[in-house]
Amino acid sequence: MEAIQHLASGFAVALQPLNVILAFVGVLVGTTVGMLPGIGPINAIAVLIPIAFALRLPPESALIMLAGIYYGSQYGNSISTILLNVPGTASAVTTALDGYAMTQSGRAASALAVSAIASFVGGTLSIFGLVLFAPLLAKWAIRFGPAEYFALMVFAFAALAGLAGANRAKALVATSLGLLLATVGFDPNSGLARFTFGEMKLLDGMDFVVVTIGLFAVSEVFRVLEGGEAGRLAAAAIGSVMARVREAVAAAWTMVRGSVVGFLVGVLPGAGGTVASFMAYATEQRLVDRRGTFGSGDMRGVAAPEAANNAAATGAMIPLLTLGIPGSGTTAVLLGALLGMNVTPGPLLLEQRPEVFWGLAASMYLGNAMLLVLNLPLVGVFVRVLELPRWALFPGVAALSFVAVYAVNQSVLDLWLMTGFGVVGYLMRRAGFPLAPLILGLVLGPLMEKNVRRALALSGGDWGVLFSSPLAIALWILAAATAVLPWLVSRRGAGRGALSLLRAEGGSQ
Amino acid sequence: MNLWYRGWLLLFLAVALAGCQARRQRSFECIAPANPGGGWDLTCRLIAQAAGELRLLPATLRVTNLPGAGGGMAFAHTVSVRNRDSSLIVAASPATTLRLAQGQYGDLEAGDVRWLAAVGAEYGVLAVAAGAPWRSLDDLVSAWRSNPGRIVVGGGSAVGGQDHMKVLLLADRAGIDPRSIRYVPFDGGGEALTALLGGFIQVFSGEASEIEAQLEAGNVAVVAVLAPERLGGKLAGFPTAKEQGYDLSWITWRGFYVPRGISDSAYRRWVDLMRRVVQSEPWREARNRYGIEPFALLGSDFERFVRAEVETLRGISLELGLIR
Amino acid sequence: MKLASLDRVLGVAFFAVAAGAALQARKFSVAFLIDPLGPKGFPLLAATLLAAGSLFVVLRPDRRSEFPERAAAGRIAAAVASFVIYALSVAPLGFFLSTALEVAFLARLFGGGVKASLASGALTAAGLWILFALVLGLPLPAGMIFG
Repeated sequence: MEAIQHLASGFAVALQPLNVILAFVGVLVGTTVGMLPGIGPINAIAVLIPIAFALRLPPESALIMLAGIYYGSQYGNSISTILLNVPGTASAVTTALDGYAMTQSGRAASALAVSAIASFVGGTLSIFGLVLFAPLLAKWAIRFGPAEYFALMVFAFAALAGLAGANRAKALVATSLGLLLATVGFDPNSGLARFTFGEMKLLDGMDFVVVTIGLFAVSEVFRVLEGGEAGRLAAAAIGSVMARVREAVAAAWTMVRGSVVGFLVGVLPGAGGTVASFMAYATEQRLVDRRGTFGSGDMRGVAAPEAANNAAATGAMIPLLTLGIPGSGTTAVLLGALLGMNVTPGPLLLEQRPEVFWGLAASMYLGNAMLLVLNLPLVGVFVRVLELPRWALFPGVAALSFVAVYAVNQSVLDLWLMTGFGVVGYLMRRAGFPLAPLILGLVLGPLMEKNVRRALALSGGDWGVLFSSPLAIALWILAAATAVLPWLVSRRGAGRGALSLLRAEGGSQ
Repeated sequence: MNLWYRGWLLLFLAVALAGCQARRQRSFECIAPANPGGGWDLTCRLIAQAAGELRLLPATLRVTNLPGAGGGMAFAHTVSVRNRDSSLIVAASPATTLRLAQGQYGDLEAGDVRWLAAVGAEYGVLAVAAGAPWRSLDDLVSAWRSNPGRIVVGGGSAVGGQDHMKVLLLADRAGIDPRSIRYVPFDGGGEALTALLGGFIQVFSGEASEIEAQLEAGNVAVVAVLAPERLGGKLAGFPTAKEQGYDLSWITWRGFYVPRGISDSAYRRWVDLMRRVVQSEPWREARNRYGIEPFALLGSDFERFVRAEVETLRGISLELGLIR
Repeated sequence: MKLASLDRVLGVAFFAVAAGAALQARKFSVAFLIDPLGPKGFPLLAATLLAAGSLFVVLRPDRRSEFPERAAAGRIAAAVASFVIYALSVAPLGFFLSTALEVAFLARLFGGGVKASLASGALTAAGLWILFALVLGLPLPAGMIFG
């Protein structure tokens, strides 16, 4: 097969000594930057692109380093999420649910190992997907219009509602609060500023990083201040690398399923890692959570979103490479880098510059492998952070929150908002309101609103457009089934209901 | 384990040191008022690169990103915090002047900063899917006249934004009621182009660079190039709106402003730097690589250009009821 | 069940947010309406859902939801106050000094020793400064003393 041949030649490029070193540096820088919330891969890549130019690296070498940063920063983000409950990106919020719960029960090392392995599996499987199905999936992404996106969002919320647990009212409050916060800012469909109170900063909407850091990290600092057992992180057991790998094998199928879900969602421009990791989590919870352990430190609850997240990152390369359309902020930066190297991504890339396409595929694989090699042995080192006394660790978390929020935009308003969300988040957690639905509302709300209004604008106000394509109808049926099925199941087998997503307040129980 | 730990630490320090080395000399700054990856960011990075290669500054020109409010955060920052800072330039484009014209930067106005130079430009295009029945602006306009609801235009900017403006101006020139034009905003040109390929919209309003790859693949056709003169390269075969009898162009210039309060001599130094950059070979290469056309306006010429543009855009926005 | 449980207080607060948002949203009007929902539709929907949910929480609060104890509440209030002071002081004092002081204060609040707290404040601030300002090149305020 031609594709395999090309991929082999891609690997020949990727495995040159210089490129291996660059992949390593990329992963290292990416992991380090990713651990700092609020910075993210976009800034890391933007910092390193000029260096790549200055060193006059050939395009494939520069791309290899950039791919390393991309994957490294995603994993780095999981580290701070799992250890300190500071999710720096929306997609890590799902990881926080079970990841931080595992840390609290002394299984931080296992959580980190599972996260690294799941990322590797997600990255590996999705590269096969990229090699085999890229042109086909590009066509699929084009058929996905506003109505289909809206149906997908409804599907996501149905997954949430279907899991409604102990207190549906509190879950509803959290979700709708997120949806309401999502409407703050400039409304592109009317050119109107909504709920901005004349504050220019708010035109861009509620900054996701500010809200998450307030709700998760700052509220955690307050919770620990209560004293008592909260925040006394159990001394982490550090086994050998092999023991952790063996442990992770139990979640193998979870990783595979998470990868497939994540990859398919990732291909859609704009949907990205958040939807992917959440969908993977919800699916997995439905399928395997027999004892209701999701949300209270189930390893599979870490494996599913981590695999999905990485698979989605690869999936996002498909619209970039085959259509020239960046599906996320990071791929937009990559697009800029490619243009700078005289590579125009688009429908002809595969024919005209196969070495770039396959070289990138191979280098993404290399980046993933490098990530595993670098980080598995380091798990034990990262976990040491937890051995710090509380008086050193949590003020540090607070300081990290300050910089994360302040450094990027230099806005004092962001510090006020972060503090406000910290207090609200603390009180909500104390009263047993789940926080994950709030974040989902905030992230998915704009996508939902924009797409339903886009669909209606395209149809001239005819609501029928929402059900006009087979793809949309299929998604609606899936959504309905997702909402109704758990209810039917729980009627039959009482006590089996999978409730943890709503119970878990950022994995704090 | 210990070896790994030390190795990691060492490598990290090495990278950190290299990073420090790269940014030790920092005395000039170019603010890109958006996140990395967009046009403003590119403008800053290209000018920084060219100025560095030509050694036009005693120190490196450092690029910082100050995103927010469509450039409003950077504009307000320049006016209120950095008004006397002569080491600062800020990237701008018609997205800046359009927002100034529509009063979207609060009560700040174009006169609150000093306009430095435009160093290059892109041009707007109107494109349709390859098999579409409209081959020219006349085709499109007559289809609009007979049934305005049938054609939906999509673009990457908000209602009242640049891509919307392009079709509103076309309607105005063609004598169609601009309100009958149906425009749907998408998140960036890429998503709008996807919608065109998927058949969800009929006309794509955007920039020439956005469609080049699809044009080459034969998936889209250009109805009109909104440049004053015919472009070269892949767009050489497509007529401008002017050639087709519509007095319409959309110049997405790439340029800079500086704080109002800097001295005339500092302003002249910057103008001089920009003049030498736009005439240089590295700049021509960088432009070509990113598909940016030559377009240079310096100093007071650029000041006049910006003032006129803001006036025009304000007039149209008022006329259309986009602002009150 | 106590009349003023934490659930009730939060429920009332969220209901007020919903009501305020709905009142504001009703006033949104535009010259260029391109879709039937308009800028109002979605905020009104979200506000309605929020109002319904919070009303339910007010009427049927959880039994176990209680306010924090007095001493704990005092510590948390002190932390919140220090956050506010930090936000005010970071620009004039500069990143390093204000962060070092804030971290030292919080460390004291968490029960660290005086010397250890000060050391941890200085170390944390220095580490973050190196990472963010030097390595990543993000502009942190130097303040009046170091600036």
